[in-house]
Amino acid sequence: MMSNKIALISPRSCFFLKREDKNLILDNLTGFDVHQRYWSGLTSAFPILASLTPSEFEIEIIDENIEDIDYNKDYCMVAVTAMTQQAIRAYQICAEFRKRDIHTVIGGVHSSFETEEASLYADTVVIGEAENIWQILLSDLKNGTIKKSYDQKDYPPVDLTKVLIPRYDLLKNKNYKILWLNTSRGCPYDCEFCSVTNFFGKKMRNKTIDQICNEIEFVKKHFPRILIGFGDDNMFVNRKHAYQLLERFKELNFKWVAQTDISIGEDKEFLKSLFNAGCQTVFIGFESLDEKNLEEIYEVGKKLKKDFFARYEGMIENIQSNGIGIWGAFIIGLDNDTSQTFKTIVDFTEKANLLGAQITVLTPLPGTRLRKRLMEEKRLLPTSWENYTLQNINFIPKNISYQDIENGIIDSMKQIFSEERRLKVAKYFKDIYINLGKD
Amino acid sequence: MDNSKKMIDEVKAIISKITRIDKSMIMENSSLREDLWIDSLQAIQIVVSIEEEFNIKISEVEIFNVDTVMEVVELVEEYKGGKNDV
Repeated sequence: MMSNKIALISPRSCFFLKREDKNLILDNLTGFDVHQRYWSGLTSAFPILASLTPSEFEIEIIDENIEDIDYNKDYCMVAVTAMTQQAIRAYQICAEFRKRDIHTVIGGVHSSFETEEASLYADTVVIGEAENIWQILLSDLKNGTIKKSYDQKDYPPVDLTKVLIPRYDLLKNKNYKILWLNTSRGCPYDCEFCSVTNFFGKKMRNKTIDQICNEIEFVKKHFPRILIGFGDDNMFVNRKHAYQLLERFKELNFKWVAQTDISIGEDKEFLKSLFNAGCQTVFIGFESLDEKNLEEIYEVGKKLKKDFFARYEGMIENIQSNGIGIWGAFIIGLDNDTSQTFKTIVDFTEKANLLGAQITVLTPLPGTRLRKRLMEEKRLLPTSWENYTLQNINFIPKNISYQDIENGIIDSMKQIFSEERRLKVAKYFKDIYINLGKD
Repeated sequence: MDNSKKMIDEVKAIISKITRIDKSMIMENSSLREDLWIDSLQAIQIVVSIEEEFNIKISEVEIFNVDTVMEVVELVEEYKGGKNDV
């Protein structure tokens, strides 16, 4: 009789530098643990799949970052998800299970864009969002008719208002410090370096307010002390929906962090609501402080973004003076970047008193316009997917050397996460909270 | 309730208000970072609330150097007893 156990595996990953010696420097920086915390946890993909799995199957979620895989366990199927940096490890895992005649499935963003490659290593490839595929795939598995690939395009579009509460309870033994939820999918901006618009579409799709609140209550029940992170790529694009959401968040009384764009900095009423609703920190992709670079990155909303660029300082001040910290995200290696760019970013971070900042290396991920352009310009390096950490270089930069990028990241992080800056930022926010208390 | 217990209770109430974690989940030996996952922004908010509640002035830096809820209580006791580090 066929086993009913399915393993959902997230392969080991490395989202910092691949150099152990340099990672050690970062590990010892003041407050860098917060940075690492924001980069930890699991996406909601597996809890979603588990919620869709009929009870005749037993699901085991394995995060290889925190636990080992038992290749000799009696699984009827193993499904692996991978971002580009995890792809090679995902293929190794599939190979081990295939040796044992266990059916392997691969899904996620990398294999959706590199389908041919993924099909060499896994028995089945799932392309795109899996919600309307998963139950059919399991039924085919049971009937011995499972296919080589399942493409979202061949199935009805995923209606987010119909999805069930993901089975976050299955993550209980993982001891995560942050749990990532999603309220929406899609992004209208289609930035050159990002594959989100290509994967999820330009049109924003939102869960209903009730759905989101039920999900939060479920998480709070199982993880009463956890920090909730909203992984939506831009959570407040639909401002009317966001206002309604914040009203309900106030009642739910929890702390959370989210990703958004700088435009919220002009809506003072919204910022008040955001703080009162428990929002603690927002991640904002500034990407670059160079107008020419911004011109290259954005296809949609170029004019608006350039307009914001001129008013960054005031907008940042508005957000942080409402008690919400900003974690700024910057990219290095854009065509107009030079060795001076690091100084510009560090100076900006210091002047604006940003709570935190991260600098990632421009990375030509599959599914992006950037990869296509660099390929046409013959600037892609023949590096392994393992090198796609967002901290390593996989293309030929125009005006900055590899060495400058590698050294610049470490030096900048040392300044951004220095004790001196921590104390300055602490004092800055203390004054803010004193003032907010007087209101 | 004796004074010490009262203070522990008040500190727990402040931490609960800032972190939005139910007070019953906050123990005297709970680690701010490892158990309650308090980050620097929450730590600063806790300092501001403590200053207001106990009418003391404490350095925002000191909260980064304590580990448990009980150590926060001891810090408050120290300042109430006359320590002034600001």
